[in-house]
Amino acid sequence: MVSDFVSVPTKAQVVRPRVMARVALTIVALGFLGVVVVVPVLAVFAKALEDGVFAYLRAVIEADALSAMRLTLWIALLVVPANTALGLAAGWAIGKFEFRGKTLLTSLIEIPFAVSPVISGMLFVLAVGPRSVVGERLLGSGIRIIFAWPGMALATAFVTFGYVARQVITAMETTGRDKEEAALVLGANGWQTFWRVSLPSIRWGLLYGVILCNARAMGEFGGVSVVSGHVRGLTNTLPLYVETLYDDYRFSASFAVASLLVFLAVVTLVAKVLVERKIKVSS
Amino acid sequence: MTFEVRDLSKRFGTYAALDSVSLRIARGELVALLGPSGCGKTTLLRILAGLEMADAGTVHFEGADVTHTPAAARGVGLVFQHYALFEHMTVFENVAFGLRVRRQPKSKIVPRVKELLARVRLEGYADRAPSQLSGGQRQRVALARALASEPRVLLLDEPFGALDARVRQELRVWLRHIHDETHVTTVLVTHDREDAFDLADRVAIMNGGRLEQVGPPAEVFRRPATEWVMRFLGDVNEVPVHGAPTPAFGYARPHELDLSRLPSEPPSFGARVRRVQSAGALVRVELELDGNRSLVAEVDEGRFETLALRRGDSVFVSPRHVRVFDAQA
Repeated sequence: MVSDFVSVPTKAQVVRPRVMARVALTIVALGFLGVVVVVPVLAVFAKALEDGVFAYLRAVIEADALSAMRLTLWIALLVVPANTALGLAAGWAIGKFEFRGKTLLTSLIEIPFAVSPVISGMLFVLAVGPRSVVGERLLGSGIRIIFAWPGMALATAFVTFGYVARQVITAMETTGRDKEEAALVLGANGWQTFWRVSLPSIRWGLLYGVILCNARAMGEFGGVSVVSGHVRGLTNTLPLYVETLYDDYRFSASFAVASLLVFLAVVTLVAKVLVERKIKVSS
Repeated sequence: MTFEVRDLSKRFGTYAALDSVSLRIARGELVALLGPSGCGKTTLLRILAGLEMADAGTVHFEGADVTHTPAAARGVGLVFQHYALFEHMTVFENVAFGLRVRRQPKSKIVPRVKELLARVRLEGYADRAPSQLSGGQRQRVALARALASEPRVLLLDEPFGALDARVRQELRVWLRHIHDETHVTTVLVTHDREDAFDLADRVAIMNGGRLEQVGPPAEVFRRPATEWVMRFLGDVNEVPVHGAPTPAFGYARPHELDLSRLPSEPPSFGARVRRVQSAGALVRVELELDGNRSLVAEVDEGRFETLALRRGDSVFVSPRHVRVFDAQA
């Protein structure tokens, strides 16, 4: 009887080390998450409410804060639709068609991800800043791009360009070309095919890209910082205003404004999870 | 009134998908393009649909040259292997799509869609989403959608490819039925012999971008034009040919080999039974010839019982029908 001599582990013996490993790994993961995410977020709120709720509210509805919010929203309002339209067009072309220069276009879309946002901002300063040929001309006719909102919108648009395009490309590629071909053969023209077939079948992927693009646009710091000039009440977005307040030693006000960005992040995360579920269901 | 392609050629890089293919299809006919994967049959179908442009050659629909007519204006119905239904639309809207993009009035669309859903026996499914249907049902929706705007020619690209054997069989019978009712000219692309033989009036067998043989199923099966067609259409035995000046071989199908315990005149030859497989309509007998070559014969049950063959027995094989092809293939 061989089995008498070979010690066959009982079920409990096999299970216990696995359970231990699972618990240990979970603790490590949660601990890491706690240190890099939960503690800083809690710190933001603790600092923000340090001087009481009223101080918090005052900091948030202060004229400069409101102006920073307006500018942030304004830039997002310009950038997100523009990037959505461009991202859709580029994504549709790349995802559904074969053409010369396709690889080049794909690489161009990837550039903003590869370049540091500060460098992106610098590029705009060099290209259309007051000392450039174009910038001088524009200034001459009274149009200020750098150190004003148009430059900030441009820098934000550049930094966030790929977010929609990337999602759209992935979605367009996964849905394949069958449906478009079916629509074409059924007599639809390009326009009808796009609006009735391509766009609806990637709608959740598109929304996902828009959410990411928006979050990035509202939270952008580096690129915008270079082109803004930090004029209080004029060219400060929320992230820049947080820095301004901090530099002024107004720590609790600074964290109060930062907490608004945390809220934005939370809303983004929730929206992201909901959309991800939709994508899973529909594919 | 015919559909015709003349001298179609198409290359993808260095690979010749179609090499000077010409084919004529009569109105109301159901033609199957049959061949292994990569033989060019799907490319030919896509050129007919207007989804692919040929490098050379022309396409004619009912007398008109449509070589450069865009897909949307050709009036074809296309059914894909993976259905290609619009997942975000109901079954009704899928079928109505072709009519809607052609801006047909609602008073026309509703009755037409209902009629088609009845024809494909999916009346109760108008408001369902495609994702709620089985594979067979989806393919029926795809067919209704393709038929909705009364195409001049219906193109089916491996329509049963994604379905399991039983559904496949059902759908085949049913598709033939629909074709008999509508008489719409149909081109079916398939790699499956049974699909082609069950459904088609004529079969066009393709290999390496060329047409090997075109004809009614019985004809291409009984009188394959080339060795390749012979091998492609079923199991083949190489049997010695007597009376040839040099030792030569011909081809016979397993069911064309008669077995006997007693020697008879040539072309009969001796063999040894290696294995018997008797589960099936015909009994499959694997035979061994001298020189380690093997043959497969299929005999009916009655004959098998008379012979009472067992492993190791000696038998005599006499082919009823041997085909010899020119050395070209």
